[in-house]
Amino acid sequence: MQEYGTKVLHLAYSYLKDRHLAEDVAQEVFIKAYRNWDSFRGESSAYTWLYRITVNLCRDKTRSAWWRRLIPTDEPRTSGAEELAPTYREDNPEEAALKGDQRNRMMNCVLKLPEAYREVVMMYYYDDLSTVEIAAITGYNENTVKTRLFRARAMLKGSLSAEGVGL
Amino acid sequence: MNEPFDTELSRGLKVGFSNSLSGLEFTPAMQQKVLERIAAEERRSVHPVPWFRSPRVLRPLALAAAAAAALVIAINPGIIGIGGRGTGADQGLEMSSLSMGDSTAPQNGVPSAMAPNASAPVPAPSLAPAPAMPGTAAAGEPSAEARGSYADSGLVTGAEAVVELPVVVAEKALNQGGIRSLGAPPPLRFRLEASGSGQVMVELSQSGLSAVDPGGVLTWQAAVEGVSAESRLAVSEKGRIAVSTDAKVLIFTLNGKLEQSRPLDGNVTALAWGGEESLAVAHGNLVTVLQATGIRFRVPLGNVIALSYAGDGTLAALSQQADRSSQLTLLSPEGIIRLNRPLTASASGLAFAGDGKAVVAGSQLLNREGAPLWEPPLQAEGMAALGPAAVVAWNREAAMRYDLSGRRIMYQARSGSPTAAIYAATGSTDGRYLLLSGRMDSGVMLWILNPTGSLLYHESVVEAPVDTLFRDDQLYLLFPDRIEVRDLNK
Repeated sequence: MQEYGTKVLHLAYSYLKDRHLAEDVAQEVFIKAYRNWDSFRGESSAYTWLYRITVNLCRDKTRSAWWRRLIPTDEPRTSGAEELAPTYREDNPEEAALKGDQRNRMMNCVLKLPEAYREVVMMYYYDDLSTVEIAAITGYNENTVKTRLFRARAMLKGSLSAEGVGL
Repeated sequence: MNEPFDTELSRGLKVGFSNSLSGLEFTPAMQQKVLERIAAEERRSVHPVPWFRSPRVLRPLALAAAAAAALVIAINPGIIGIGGRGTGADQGLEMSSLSMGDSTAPQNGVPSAMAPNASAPVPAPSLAPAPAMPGTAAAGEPSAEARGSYADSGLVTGAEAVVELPVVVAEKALNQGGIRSLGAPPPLRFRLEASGSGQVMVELSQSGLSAVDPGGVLTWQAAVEGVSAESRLAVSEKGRIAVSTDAKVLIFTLNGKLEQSRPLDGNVTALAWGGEESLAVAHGNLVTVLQATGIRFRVPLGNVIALSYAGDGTLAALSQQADRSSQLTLLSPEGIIRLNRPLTASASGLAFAGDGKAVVAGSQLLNREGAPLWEPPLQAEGMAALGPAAVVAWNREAAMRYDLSGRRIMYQARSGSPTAAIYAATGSTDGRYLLLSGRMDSGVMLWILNPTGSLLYHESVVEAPVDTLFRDDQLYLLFPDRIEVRDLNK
């Protein structure tokens, strides 16, 4: 839990866009993992296994008819001039602030993608998972993952352009 | 990931999320909660399984009951038998959300439970599923063995019938004969609604509105700017169309002509037509009822997430409070609050049932005074109106149809595999069809039952439809990039 808890929590948030629900799901993930530890045979990494449980639990929630009527209200915080990680630090403070704003907009655009596209984008770009790993986690075949990534890129380019974010 | 766009997107997401999600961590308190829940479950596990979670292994007594039930079924086709239990792969997992690394998961797309079985029993006549749709065998259509697997034994619990829902492996269901794909690839599709008469079906997509007739022919398209997955769509009985874009509601005629454009304060979160004249809109913290002459009334009700009209003009509104609890409000046609009460469980679905005398709110069925009408004997995660005289309650493991006039459970359906979990139920407006959607490791299961609980059709699809719609004997499945139709008469 200590090792993967926060990663699982962030993944759940990317689906549910709600901190409280994401916390509930993250706890549920570890309870299920405990109950079913016997069925985990090490054919995949524990991380991938936990991811798959997380994805399935989140899908259960988001696929329910009543969830679709909900509009999650928990917008990601926009922190203005963000504190950039050292490797990404910009030399110019103005440029850093601009980049920070752009990244917030980018994140919002990603969160507004339909779930089918958002999940592959998050796993590929945020978690650095390969298309093979994403296919194993989501249950799609690898070509579907690649197609969705391709389409998601196109959608993001369009929405980012509309937001005035040029990459 | 080799373009500058990819690199910047990856970097932007990492930095952006680490900033915006700062503080969202799996804390020691959460770890403690997990440990406490595990300990509590282990203590509970020594107690008997509730009646609605019958053991998966049939004991001699159950077999005797099954034999007796088979006899009952033979002389009374209105009673449905429980399906045969899955074998092999079905037994491996208790929880449906698990699959990675599980050696019991389907291999090469064929679960062992669905392997060819020359001795598969022939379904009883009253349980025979609908014939296969032409050309769909490779598209996840159940094998003959799969179709027969739920009818090979019977068990009756009191007057209530129990149906086991078979599962099949998902395969690519695109471009197969018998499944018509309507419309072109992207733009993304979000919602599908129909007029009460069924003469007009309207699809909301990224580019706007499209109308298709029941035969699937595109009749008109109207570009609408600002449509997103959060836009709402409502179609009146006679085909007037309301669509929301951010803080605006647009009303179109049956023929796609823009009739009105109404700017409103705050994002629109729900829409509902009351006959042809009244359109209720939830926006910001208000519910506004619009009429041709202007605003009929406006009521502050907080964060309303669902609206529904009864035939007599009563408007139900479901709002979500800051503490995530839910509130049900009933308004008279004049805007007078008739009922305003908190619900015992958080809810998001809302509909009138029982000819408008009952309200389904989340997993609760209430009368217009707010008193409970039925407590399902399962821990319901959701409930939906099923035609004018029935409701369906469901959780991950089972779904129950409850007849409002007879006040009895008509049948109970449960997933035939522990790796498949029910996540939604949708009824046709006339109550003839119930669609249960279930998730399994390899995709999504769809089961369609008739009012007596007979399984009419089932299949697996690779991805979950974003919306579904029954029209007459057809089921329309809206996917992000296409519409597919299932003809339930074939």
